[in-house]
Amino acid sequence: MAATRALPAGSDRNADALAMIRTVAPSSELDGAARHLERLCTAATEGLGLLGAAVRLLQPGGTAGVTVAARETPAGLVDIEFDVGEGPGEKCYAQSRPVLVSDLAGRDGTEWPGFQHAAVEQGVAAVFAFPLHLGAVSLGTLELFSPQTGPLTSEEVSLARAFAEIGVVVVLDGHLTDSDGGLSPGFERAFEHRADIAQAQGMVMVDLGVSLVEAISRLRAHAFATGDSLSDLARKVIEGYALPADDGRSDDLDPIR
Amino acid sequence: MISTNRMAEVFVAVADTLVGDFDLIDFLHGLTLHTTEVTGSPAVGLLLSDDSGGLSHVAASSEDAQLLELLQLQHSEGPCVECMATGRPVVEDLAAGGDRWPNFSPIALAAGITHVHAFPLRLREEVIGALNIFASADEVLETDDSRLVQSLADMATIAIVQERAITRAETLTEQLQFALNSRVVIEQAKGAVARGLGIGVEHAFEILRANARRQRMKLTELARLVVTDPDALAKLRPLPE
Repeated sequence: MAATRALPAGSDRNADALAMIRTVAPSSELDGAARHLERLCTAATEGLGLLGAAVRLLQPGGTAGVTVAARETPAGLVDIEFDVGEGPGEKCYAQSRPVLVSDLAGRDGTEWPGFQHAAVEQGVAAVFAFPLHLGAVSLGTLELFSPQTGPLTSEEVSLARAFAEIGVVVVLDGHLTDSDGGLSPGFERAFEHRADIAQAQGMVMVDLGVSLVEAISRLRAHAFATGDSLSDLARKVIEGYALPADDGRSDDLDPIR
Repeated sequence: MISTNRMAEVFVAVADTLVGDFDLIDFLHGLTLHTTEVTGSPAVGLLLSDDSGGLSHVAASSEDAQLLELLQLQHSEGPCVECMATGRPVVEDLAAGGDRWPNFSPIALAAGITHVHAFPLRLREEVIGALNIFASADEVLETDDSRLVQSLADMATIAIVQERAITRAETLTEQLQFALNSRVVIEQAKGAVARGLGIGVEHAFEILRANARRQRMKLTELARLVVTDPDALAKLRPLPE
């Protein structure tokens, strides 16, 4: 069957979100992924009319982690889930699904009384948590704090998902930044969702004896280094080739048998 | 013509798996297998809307069926894409040589598919996905058959709504996103199992399903374990003879 390049679903939304992020000037106080995640949160806050937004990067188990928040996020919200020890983000991370609470003060929010109390006090009326995940790799959450009750429209949901998806790429592909710290023009190419790419991720994990998240990064790095699309590289892997064991960026593919 | 008795058996079998704590992806995969069985079609696939206009593949009766689904997604054309857009069943005779789907049709024809059918997964006013039947010349569905297959599509919708009680629009969004990411988890695990055991991905999927049953685990949970815990991969057993 032909293996032409896939246009990922919702690609326009990703482009919109990326354009919004690029309008936010990078902070000089942050480096690497954190710098872009802060821009992402700020863009989401402005684009979706929020009180604030935060990306939490978590370790398996959901305990330790770091938080990066939009600049305008009220200080009390930034680490609110760590502070009160519960909240929709925790559920979102544990279950690997979005948790959308459109009326925090109402019945929807009573699952987390401590969070509900603290967040409402900060002016939050609705909270929407989206997982930063890629299959079995769970990196953390993007939490959006809204000053108004009511559900996100489907447009807003897709924009929020696009921000979460970009967050995943920022975390996985630290190398996709320009020398001046901007997001590289090749960044868009990181969004490809195909069954064969996911299969190749599992294969690289076993071939190289690395974690799944490492396998994903290696595949992406190799695709960027060689100029292959992720789809094309995935097909080669499925057909029996293994990435080089060293840094994943060599131009050569090694046959495994 | 689909046998009514056979259909009744399938409904009982499907309903039996729709109770308690079932795995959505596993259920939908089983449904595509049942659909191939009652229709005699070689390939059946299921796509879900990702709730923002995009479509994603979620279940297929075989790797070939999966490729036919992905082909439609790649080119944004084909019976499933059209069914999603219109909310109505789609029937097309590819061999008649129309140019309705210039990218999809030639490749499907080359794979021996002459007739395609797509049935919407409808939830109230929304179309949340589509069930695709890829048939060869001697397995064309008759009108009465179409009604029966539509009811299988309705079973898929029920399962999606049922797995977690969907009481509000937001829960549907959460559920669809979860289902689509679960599919990615399963593809990652298929890749790991295929390389770990030196077998093809289709066989790898069968091994995952069989082991999930044996260990009384949800398919998605086992798949997640296989790609996060090396021991879980080592413990998988081959299929019984």
